[in-house]
Amino acid sequence: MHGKPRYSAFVPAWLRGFVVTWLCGFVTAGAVAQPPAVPPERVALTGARIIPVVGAPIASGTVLVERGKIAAVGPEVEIPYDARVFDVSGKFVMPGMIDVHTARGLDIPNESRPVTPHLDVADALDPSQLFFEDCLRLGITAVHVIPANNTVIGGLGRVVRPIGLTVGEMTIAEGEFLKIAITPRRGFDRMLQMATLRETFLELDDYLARVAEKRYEDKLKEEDKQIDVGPDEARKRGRDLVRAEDVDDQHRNLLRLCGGQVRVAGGPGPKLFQPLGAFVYCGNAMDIALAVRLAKDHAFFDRTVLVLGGECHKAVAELKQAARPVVLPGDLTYRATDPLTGEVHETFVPKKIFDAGLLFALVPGPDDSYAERMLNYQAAQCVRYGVPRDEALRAITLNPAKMLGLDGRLGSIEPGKDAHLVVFSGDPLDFSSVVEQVFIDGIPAYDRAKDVRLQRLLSPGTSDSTAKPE
Amino acid sequence: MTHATKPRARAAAVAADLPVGRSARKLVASLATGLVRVAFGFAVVGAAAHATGQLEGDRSAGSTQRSADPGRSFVLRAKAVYPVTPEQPLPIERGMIVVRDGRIAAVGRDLPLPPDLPVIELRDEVVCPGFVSAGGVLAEPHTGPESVSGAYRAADAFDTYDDYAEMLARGTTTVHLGPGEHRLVSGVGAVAKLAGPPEQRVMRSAADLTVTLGVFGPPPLFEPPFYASSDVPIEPARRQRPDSRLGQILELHERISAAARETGLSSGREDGSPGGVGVPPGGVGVPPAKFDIHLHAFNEAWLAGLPLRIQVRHAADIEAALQFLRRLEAGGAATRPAYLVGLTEIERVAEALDAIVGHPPRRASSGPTPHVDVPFVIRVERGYRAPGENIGGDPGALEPGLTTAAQLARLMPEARVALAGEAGDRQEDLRAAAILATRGGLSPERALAAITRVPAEILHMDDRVGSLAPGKDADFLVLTGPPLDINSFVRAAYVGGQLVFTAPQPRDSRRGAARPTAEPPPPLVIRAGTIWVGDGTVIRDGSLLIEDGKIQAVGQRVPHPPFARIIDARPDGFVVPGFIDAHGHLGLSGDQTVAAPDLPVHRSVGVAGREFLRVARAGVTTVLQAPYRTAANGGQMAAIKTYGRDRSELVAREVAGLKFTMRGQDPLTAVEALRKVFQTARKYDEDWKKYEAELAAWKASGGQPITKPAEARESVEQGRPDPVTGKWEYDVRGGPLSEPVSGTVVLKLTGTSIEGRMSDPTDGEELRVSGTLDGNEIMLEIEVDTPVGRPTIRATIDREDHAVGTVTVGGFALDFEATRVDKSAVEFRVSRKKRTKDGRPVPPKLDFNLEPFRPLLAGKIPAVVDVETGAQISVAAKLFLDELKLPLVLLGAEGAADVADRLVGRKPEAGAPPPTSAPAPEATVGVVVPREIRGTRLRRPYCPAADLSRRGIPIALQSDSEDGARDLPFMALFAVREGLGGDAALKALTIDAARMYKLDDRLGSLQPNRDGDVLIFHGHPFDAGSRLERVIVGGQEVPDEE
Repeated sequence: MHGKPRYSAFVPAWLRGFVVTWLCGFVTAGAVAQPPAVPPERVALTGARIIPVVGAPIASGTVLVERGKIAAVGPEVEIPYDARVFDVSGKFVMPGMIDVHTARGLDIPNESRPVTPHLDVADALDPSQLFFEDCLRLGITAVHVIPANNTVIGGLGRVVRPIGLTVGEMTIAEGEFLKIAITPRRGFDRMLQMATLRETFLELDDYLARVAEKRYEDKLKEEDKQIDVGPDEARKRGRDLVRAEDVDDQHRNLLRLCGGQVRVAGGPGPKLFQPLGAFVYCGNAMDIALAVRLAKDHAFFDRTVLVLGGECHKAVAELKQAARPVVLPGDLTYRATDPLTGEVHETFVPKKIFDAGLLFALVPGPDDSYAERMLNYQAAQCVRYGVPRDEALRAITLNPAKMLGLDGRLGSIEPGKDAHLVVFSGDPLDFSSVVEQVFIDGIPAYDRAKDVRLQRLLSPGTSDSTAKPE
Repeated sequence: MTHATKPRARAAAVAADLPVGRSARKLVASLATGLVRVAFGFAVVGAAAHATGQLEGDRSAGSTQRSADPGRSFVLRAKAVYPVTPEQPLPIERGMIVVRDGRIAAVGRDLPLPPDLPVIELRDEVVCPGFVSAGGVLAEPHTGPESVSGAYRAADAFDTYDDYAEMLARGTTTVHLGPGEHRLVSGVGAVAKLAGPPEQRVMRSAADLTVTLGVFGPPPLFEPPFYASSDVPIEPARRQRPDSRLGQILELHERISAAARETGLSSGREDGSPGGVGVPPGGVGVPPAKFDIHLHAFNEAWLAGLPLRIQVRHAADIEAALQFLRRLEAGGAATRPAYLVGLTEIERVAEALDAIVGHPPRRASSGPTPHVDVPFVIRVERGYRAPGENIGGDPGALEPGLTTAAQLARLMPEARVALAGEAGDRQEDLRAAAILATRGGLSPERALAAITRVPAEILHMDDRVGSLAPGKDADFLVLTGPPLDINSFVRAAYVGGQLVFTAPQPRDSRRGAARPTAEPPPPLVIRAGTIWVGDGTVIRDGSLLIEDGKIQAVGQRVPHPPFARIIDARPDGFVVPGFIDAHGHLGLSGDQTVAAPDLPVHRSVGVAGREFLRVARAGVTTVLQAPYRTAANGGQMAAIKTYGRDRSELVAREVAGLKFTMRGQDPLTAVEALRKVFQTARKYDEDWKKYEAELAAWKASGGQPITKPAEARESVEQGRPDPVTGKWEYDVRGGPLSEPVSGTVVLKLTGTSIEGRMSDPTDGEELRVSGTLDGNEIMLEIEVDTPVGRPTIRATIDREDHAVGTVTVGGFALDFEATRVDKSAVEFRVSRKKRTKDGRPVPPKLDFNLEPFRPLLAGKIPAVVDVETGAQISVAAKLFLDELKLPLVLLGAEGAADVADRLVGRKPEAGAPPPTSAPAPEATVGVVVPREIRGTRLRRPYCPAADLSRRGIPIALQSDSEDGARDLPFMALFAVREGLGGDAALKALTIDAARMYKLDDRLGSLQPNRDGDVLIFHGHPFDAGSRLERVIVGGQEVPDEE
């Protein structure tokens, strides 16, 4: 039907240092990803060992995809005559993995201003970044791109798939989460960070109050009346008059974070916007309490995801009480030094978080650690240290989908969900397994056999020849 | 009281568990760490193995539960409890604290013991409230630029999960958290505990408003941004903070009156805090164009009535602060609590004091002056850890000093004065601050209160911390000594009734892995009114340091290593070395075996039993253990300790003497036999010395043969009639042998070892045999190497000249029967090669019967001769002192008085032990007096101890029994009553006994490098009313009860 899968990645992005030189030549040679076409009507993956994440694994079965959605899963699925069939016998098929918290894909991770709730990563996303190719290569089919942690209030994130030429094509869901950091950004201390956060929200209250007052004054003016009450009363009377267009960019997202409803002088006004959630970065254990208090004070606690640093495992009791979803640090082992004896104690963070019964998601480790960049490696580590296999798999698929409110679409292989599928050569939690194929919304987005960059990288002798500019 | 026994035992276990628990936790942690590291490499492999296996069930059992705190209710009894309440400023000796659910239920002396609570006994430690630091030690100034702000909250920056062990180790349990001292109003301070559940650590998140006077030349607020961009705009500079004292006060007043105006206009708040001046609605107050949280928060804090923390630097600041407070009060506002911080930095202490003290009365003329009760937090600790800056000839610079607090206290007896360290100084040591203040003249009671109760009052936390009274939090410290003793250490800290800090175990850094089995006991310092060192000196009001089981120092004031235990036995304590039983049988358990020189009696010591404990508790820390009966050629004695954790600690010296007996024998016959023994021994000793010299020469020459190789040496060895020696004919039958085999074996017995040769039953070749005789059991090994190992013979002499038993070869056992056909002493020639192929000298044959004689002949151990009559003593003295020139201990020696002249003048040289390099042994003599202290002589009552001691002969005491040694101190007391001086009795039990046995390099005195065997008496040990209070052996205290 189609000549070849069009979304294969071509240039390996890893080991960028020496690849970069020939990369330039290669990209200009016209090997960039082609625009996405209409997905194939029907795709069937047959003979697969299916890990659906929800429900029991299927030893040998078929996944049938229709128009980008999963139509049927099971050992006995009738394959329509016109389906494009991929025989993946003996291979493992699992739902696409989700990177729930990353700033990669942005040109810079953080703006230099501390409080930027009006920003949206959509404006800074670069579809041509090699990061997205890497995502395909590593089996990640959805990325929540959100400003990094070096901020106070960072801006709006967005869930994207790693294919597409424009941000619009890439988008899976509009941004539903603002980034907030409790751990001080560079140059800040905690007192300043917290004062800035409080100021932001108090300023919002003040702004809305003044808007309400202004609305009331305008109304009187229209009625040719003189102002007859003090400011407080004017604010009360004016709060129902506030309209959505009165709220400027700077304050809109903040108001949405606080629930979208105007509150002035202690009373409720109109609900103007849909609420937003927040990814709140807590680098240290002490930040948890501050984050919880802030979120509760400003009514976004129910829409909060906590992004944890390694030390936060100490606050596991508080986390358990808060019962909010958490994103674990890339480095899963926390090392602490005893202040008197100098001994180093290690803690495996996911196990403690799992034991507390929290919903948690894993994220890839730092860019320079090849193994930890792989989400399935992170999950394998969890299994190694006592987290049940099911839970470890959920932590890279369904749990992040739930956090993002996308568990109706992503995170498992169930009929009706988006067809984000990854074909592994073996068990995904086996380090020798590799990603062979990736399907995103039914589109064959990646095929290892056609991954030119990977081939060039892995073929012998290339590293020498490619190091020289041509 | 009976009902409390069980919990108390449990508490003892709990208390004993503390360090063990810690080390166990460490062990587990390190194990886990190791596992993690090992496992790390296999993470994925393991995961894969797991993954390909079964799929696991859901995580229903995964969640953990926090266990309830079991340790928050207990009774603690200490040597002294410092409640530091206004009613009870003095310590309560043997005080008790009852803690229930983390709060203090009762404090006092002789309280009824609640039956349900465990009891922790701290015999040497004292308890005082956890220190309260008002100095803002954790403060790290905020980085915001505003000169007046209420938006910075110090509580935000407090890490509730941090481990503050370093500060807890210095006793600080509660701290003031400050937002910094760098702005006119830096922000809102807080008060927090340094330990306990993280969510409960912050006690008050908005405790005060921090005002700092006297900081001039503030850093510029406006700095142009680096590379201004669309993102980083150039903003106009905000208002600079006031740059003069006048400006500071003016600014404060302005802000305060602005806050008062704000009252009616609080933005977005229905319930704006009341208390300000009424402002007409819609009046003067105009909401600022741009919302300013810093003003807003300042107003909020001010209107909430937060206390003021005013930090001052100069005398004028104090003046200004006091005036400012006075005006506030005069202004009719509600009384606002305030306190001043940082008085010692002021340049003119006298003026400052003048300003404070003279303030109310002097200005009384200018109208009614409201009384200003302002507490002070004085930073007194600065500069004691490092030298201060040069102040040179500056006439205005006065030593800011230690005396400030004392002067203030003297001038204003009612003033509340707290002591603190530098802001932001995590090394702050409040105890040092209090000690420094006492040097400046502050009374110890006030100094202690100034780091506990007073700062708690100043911080308005006195309902919870700062003193030990019912209803308050159980925050207290366990110290090794009084809180204001410079040498005390915090051994443990409790917060909310929970043990949150214990002193780390000392690591044995100096001695390496000398004691692999047991951790070294913690360092121990003993202080006493009198220390009887044993070398003739007596130290009054001295102290003694024991570390790693050894005495490290003795003197008036010895070093106190970190976290050392302190036993304070002043003023009546009398410290002496542990007593020595110069001849006893402890540990033999009635074993009457006749001991030859090769019988290691010290092997009888394993784990110290109850009888050891009994003797140890009586103050006898060392027993010269001798067998009940010795062979004609002598028997070993060992020096054993009466308390220790294992054999290595119990056995002080394996061979401490050789015991011979002349008692009841004809002196001349007996001495001849002994002389023969010593001739053999001397030859043996010389052989070894020669070998050692040859070996040394061989080694020095680099392994070359020195003389002709393979020189044969022949010697004739002689045997004596005994049950074994002679020619035996034997039959072997059974096992795989089809018919009996017979042959002969020639044996020779030396001591308990047998050697000889036998004709091989198969080919008639001569084979060497060797073995031992144990009672009438013969154990022989035939020195022929077969594929199944060497055959052994085990036989019993069932009647004279007849033995039956078995021969074991490999797995077979053959019947063995032998008859002695010739029991005359047998001579046989022995020829041995003198050197091996490479020229290395061949060592002489090791003879365990003669081995113990070698140290004896070197003068390292004494010959202990059991004698009775004067004649026996004379011949013994002649042999050992005149001929052999060896150290001699006369055991019993009832007739010593008859021949005392032979012995006088031979007393051991006082001082150093014989040098090891010098071969010439020293002929010294001592007498171990009979166990009957009072005997008769010439039909008159006679006390040998008193008599010999008076004649100048060194004496020692013996128990001649096992745990009868416990009565040794009473025997000495009895001897004192018979005329032996108290000091002579002490010497007899300690240094003289040690010198006789050449043990004075380890025992018998309290000089450095001696064993830490110490007795603490109340009064002189041989005074009528004295009693033994504590016994310490090897640095470990012998427990009172089991």
